[in-house]
Amino acid sequence: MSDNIELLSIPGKWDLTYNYTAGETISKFLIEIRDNARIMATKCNQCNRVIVPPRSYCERCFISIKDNWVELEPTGTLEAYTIVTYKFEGLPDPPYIIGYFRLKGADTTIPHFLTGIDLSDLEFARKKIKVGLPVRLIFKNRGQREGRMTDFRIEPLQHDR
Amino acid sequence: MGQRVGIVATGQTRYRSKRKDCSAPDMVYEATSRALADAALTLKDIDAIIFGLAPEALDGINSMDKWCADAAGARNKPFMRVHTGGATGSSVANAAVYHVASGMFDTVLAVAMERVGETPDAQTILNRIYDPVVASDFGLNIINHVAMETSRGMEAYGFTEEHMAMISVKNHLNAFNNPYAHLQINVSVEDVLKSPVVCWPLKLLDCCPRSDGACAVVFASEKKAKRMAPVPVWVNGMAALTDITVPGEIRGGQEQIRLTAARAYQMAGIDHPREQIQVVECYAPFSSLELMYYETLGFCERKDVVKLVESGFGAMDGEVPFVPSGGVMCTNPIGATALIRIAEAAIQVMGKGEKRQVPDVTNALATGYGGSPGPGSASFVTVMVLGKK
Ligand SMILES: [Zn+2]
Repeated sequence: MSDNIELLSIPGKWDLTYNYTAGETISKFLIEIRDNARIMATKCNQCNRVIVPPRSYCERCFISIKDNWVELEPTGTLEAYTIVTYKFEGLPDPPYIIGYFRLKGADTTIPHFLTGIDLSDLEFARKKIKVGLPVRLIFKNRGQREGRMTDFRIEPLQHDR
Repeated sequence: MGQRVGIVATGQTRYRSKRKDCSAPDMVYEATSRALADAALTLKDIDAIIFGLAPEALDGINSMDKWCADAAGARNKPFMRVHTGGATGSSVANAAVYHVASGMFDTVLAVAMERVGETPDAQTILNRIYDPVVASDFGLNIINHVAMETSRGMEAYGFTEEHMAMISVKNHLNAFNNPYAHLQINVSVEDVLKSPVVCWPLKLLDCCPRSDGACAVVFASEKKAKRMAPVPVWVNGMAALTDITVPGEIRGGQEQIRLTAARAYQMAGIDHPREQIQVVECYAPFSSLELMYYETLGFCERKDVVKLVESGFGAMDGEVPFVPSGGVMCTNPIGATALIRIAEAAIQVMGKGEKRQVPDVTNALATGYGGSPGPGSASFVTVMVLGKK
């Protein structure tokens, strides 16, 4: 490496626009959230697994399950979590809790924020969270729902802030 | 396995947060030419090239494999790019082994690179590996994914943030012995515990840096390998699998690493890894991941993981040194990282490790891990067993 050569670089930026296609199965899932405030999953009748967010196929039995819908209760458990305290570029402002949640009757988990926990004292907040924590889904009012995962929030079932 | 395959040479660049002195092909050339020189080979000895590069948004250039092909020595030779996220480097190695084992090629160059230093925040890019419709709203990325695995691991294994810090201290110390390592800094347990929390329970010094760099490894058929290298390193076992288990789907987790290792061990005739393997280069960008490998790679039972960490099991003077190179925690040019594990494991078997050499290595283990299981994603697990015989 030469010590005395000025090493140059030039700035660049990727600024691209997309429209992400949901497909038939996820469209139905999101429309049920938007119009009826309920969580629908697909079920494989061969291995009996209930999958949410729904998939049109069972990846284990390798059969289509796109027409086999079941409704899930809006309750479940926290199965994995972290408290994010770092500001990642383009991602939400910290602090926030991200978790994976198992809805009652489901065999898979969904990612979401865990809300309803006071994050002003993180040490204290951490002690209130553990794997297995019972949670519930709270849907936005009808007019505010837009067919997205953010149409509902998730908070501890026992709310004792 | 078809034809027996050996590693005859390795080449690495110096890793840094930004290699301002190199264009992307310059880095590939640096690693490739060093690998050729390592066994006094020329391009004429190479029959095909497998090239590795992870998500291109990290580098900000689409299909940079095309830009780097000439620097990998691909002129008038077969060339292909392999990409399995963080496991790109080990998948590149696997593809090179398949090429040679098939008997169609005698000598294949595996070379992988990344320059993560071009963009200010790699996690913004890694947020885009998940399902854009159902998973994009929650700020998911690799660090918070591993943080979730870690908080679950703490409950399942009983390890603490102090145990994680002990792993970090060990690896940062090891990096001083590796002339290629990116981070060479003194770190104490207290430093780790007091470093800023990124995603609890991960703190800054539990996490890998973002690195620029490239790595190359030459694989050859048995006949050629014996001629090319004084100590050829034999690929005695290898396995790869795809994991789609979403975090929390199974309590405990990490099962797929155990399964991959079991398959590779069976192929290599390893039934007591703790007695038969002398050094491990595991793919652990975060301190907590290394600790869980102690169990999943079969070195102890889950209940003994904490005891092993406290006793310095994986230290340079411990029973089985883990990542004498300083590992992924000190150097992470993403697409190259899992190939570096294989290069470093091979260096240990060759006895070329100099200050980082573990004595009397007959079997070395290298692992790779890519992707992140979650909606719209999957992960790829690789394990390779290298031996002197
Ligand atoms: Zn099924």
